[in-house]
Amino acid sequence: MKQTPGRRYARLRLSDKASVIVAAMMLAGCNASDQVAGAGSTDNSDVHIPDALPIKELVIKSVATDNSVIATESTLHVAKQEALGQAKFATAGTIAASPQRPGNVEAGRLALLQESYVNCGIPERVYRQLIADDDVISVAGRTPSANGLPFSVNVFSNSDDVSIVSSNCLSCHGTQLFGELVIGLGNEFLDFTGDASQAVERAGALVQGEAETRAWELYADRINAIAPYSRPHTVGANPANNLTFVLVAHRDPIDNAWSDEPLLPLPPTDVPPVSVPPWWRMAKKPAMFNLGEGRLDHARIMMAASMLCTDSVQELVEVDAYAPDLRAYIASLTPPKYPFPVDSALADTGREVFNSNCSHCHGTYTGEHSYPARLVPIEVVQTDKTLVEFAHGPGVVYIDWYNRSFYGKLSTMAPGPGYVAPPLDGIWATAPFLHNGSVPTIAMVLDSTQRPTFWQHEVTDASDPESYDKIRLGWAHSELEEGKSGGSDTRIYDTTLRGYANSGHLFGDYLTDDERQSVIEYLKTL
Amino acid sequence: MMRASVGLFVLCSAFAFSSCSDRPSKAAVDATQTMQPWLSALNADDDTFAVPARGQFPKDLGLHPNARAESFTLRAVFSPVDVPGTPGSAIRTGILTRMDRVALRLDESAAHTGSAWRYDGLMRSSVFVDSTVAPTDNPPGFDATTGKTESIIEEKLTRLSQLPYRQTVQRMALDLAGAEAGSMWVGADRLTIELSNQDSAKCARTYRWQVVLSPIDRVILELPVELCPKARTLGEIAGWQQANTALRGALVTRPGEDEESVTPIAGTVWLSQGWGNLPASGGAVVIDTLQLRLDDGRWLDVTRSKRRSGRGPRTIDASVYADGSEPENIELTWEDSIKGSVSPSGYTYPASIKLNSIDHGLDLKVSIMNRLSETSGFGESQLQVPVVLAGSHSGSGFLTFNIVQQ
Repeated sequence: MKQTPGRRYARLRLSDKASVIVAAMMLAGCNASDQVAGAGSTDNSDVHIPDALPIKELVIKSVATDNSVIATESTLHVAKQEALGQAKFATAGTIAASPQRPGNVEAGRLALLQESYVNCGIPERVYRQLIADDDVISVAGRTPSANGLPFSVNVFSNSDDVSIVSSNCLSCHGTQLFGELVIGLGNEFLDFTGDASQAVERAGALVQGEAETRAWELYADRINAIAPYSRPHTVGANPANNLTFVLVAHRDPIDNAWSDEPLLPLPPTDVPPVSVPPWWRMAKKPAMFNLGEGRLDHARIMMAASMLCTDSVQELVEVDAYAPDLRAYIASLTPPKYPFPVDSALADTGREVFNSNCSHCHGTYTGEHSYPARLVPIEVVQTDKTLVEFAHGPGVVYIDWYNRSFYGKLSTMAPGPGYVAPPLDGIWATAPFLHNGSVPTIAMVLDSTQRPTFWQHEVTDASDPESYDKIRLGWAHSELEEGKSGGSDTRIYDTTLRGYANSGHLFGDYLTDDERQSVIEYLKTL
Repeated sequence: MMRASVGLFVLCSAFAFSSCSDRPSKAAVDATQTMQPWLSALNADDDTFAVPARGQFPKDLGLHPNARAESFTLRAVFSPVDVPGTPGSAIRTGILTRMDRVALRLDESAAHTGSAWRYDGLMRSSVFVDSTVAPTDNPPGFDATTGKTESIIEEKLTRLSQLPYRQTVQRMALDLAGAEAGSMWVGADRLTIELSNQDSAKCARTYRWQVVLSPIDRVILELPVELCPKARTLGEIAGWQQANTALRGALVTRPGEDEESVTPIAGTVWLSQGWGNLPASGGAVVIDTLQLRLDDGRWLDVTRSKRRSGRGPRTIDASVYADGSEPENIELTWEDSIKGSVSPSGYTYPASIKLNSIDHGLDLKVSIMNRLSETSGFGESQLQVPVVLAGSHSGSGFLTFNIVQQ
């Protein structure tokens, strides 16, 4: 007799959790002792780990028999170590919303496409020599001076009156989906595997004169500082976390001044990958980032994107003046609609299955949407634990820095002991999946036995509708026999690497094939 | 985000025009004269200067008369195929020739033909030949700094030694170079270059680059090479580079005379062409290049960026490949030796360079061959010189080394 989805979920919660956890740890190439994370972890042997961090009681709080933990409120508390008194941490549970500074949506859109929140870059005269015509698509709201430039850059004049091209947020948060720019859709095909300093340094061959040289050299110096810490193994993997840590390490938290010599330990050069979350989920999310660490004022947190060259508090204040507008614009975005046919009857069935099995963490999407914003302990979700371990281990110094800085005046960084289950609006467009992009399709998210250990995308961008897998929801990919050990091909996603594990989120394994198929159909409609 | 290729930046260096001082021209040059055979230069008497000859370049490869600046560069390292008593590979010669033109004024006359630029408004032209002769294994009696050899070695270099160590012909005056549809020329009184298309078949063309050092040495270097370059554009400049092409050819001394001799040669040639608007001055970064042929048949191309300010990192980009295969990017270190040689400008260049790539079995000592040829102009100063290899592999190649603050 067919079990109801609800009963099956109950079985998972009540009886199989421990075995799921163990299986997940084995999948990730770990053993049981690896569950104890933090200080002394051999994964980060090249990083100085501060002593006596309050890790174990935060990360290793057992929830295997205490399911209520994700339903209680996620609270914050500070580190016990006096020297890191501003390092805060969150408990698992439901994250409460915080009031946000009001902003103007249209002003935010214009600021996104025009302002110099990343206030250094390549002289425009040089940049225009280096771009190809096919890099350029038009975006409404640009200044005339940006004509002919890619949507992923803004142009502005610096204090020497040199016209500068700088990256904007859309470098990572904009994607041409089937030929149309979708603002807010994370670009899962960006290639960070190369040495960014190579291209920037060599662009200097075209730089002319003292003013251009000053502008270029500032940018090149900063890129050189972050480049060794911003190279993931795989194309599409985003190094945003590590990149931020490097910039923080070079700055004084009080006056925001840059120091060529790092003031804090630098993160590992072995970059944990991050899949870029879509912006349109911000309307629902009370906390930013995978670990739910971005609390309180989101506008102030988003400003951290300007950290590359803002070298004084005054410069931050200038960005802060329009940051609430940026946040308002981002929160106003809606996901793209699934452009292919949907089996409505099957999707209706899928909605029932979803609401019975998935909505507890991911919310509901009919009528007035609900979203519980649950921070799920790593022991429960069992996805790759690298980010959690780092945040509660060597990453504590960066949390402390943030909370003492200008950013921390209105916001708080407080990583949780696991990952936030995100809202799933527009999920069909956001492949690959899990926080590290380790699973190429939704079908594989729902059936862990189908997840490839080694795989690579068959496409290099999101432009071709024919390359989108309408059955499994993801981009065309191939499964491979060998991972990175068989070569250095940067297209290969090797889930055996640190931070790249495709383990966890095994909840879909308890659905039947028909139920999974119906859920997939339903997810097309979100 | 842009990712500029190394190849494009190599093109930039094609515009590092040389402007070494040289004796002034005594030739009365008629830049509008009709095409003359390149061998006309050989007819000149030793006591007079040759009439400038025009080099004929293949039109489809981009003689670009409408470009303000244009440059052809040939660099080659070769050995005689057969020198009695000496294995041919034991002696290497390097040669650098460059043919540049830069225009100053637009041709606003109604009757102009072929070019938007006035031929009489050409600021500068140069033809630069630098050849070196060196045994590859630096035997006793060979001085790598001076390039001189003791008698026993000298005897085996007899024919090759007729190739002069250095000839430089440059002009900083009007009327000495030009380009029009089908031809480009440089006013050069003792040297002519011709690059001509011998075969119109696509991607299988054979070009002949003939360097005539006249009238003193009367050497013709014929270098048939296969070319299929693809031009790339970098902003206001464009060009192509054909790297590491195997060459066959002949060194002809005293052509047409009773003493004429022909020495078959084989080696490696690098050809490049650039055209467009000349940058106002050198960039904030310069690119050193090493283009090497290893004894196992592989090619190794290495570039290194350096800021003029002396600050910042020196980024290395290296690729290795065999004939017919795609280049593979490799991790490699580049270390200049502390000991160096002083250039004519007083700059101390490294006498050798160490290249190391453990993963690819490369541990090379790159030694500069016996002559330093330094070019400068437009804020650029470069050493361009052939090199020989020792260590994990033997071989040869060419180095372009830029002067920056130290």
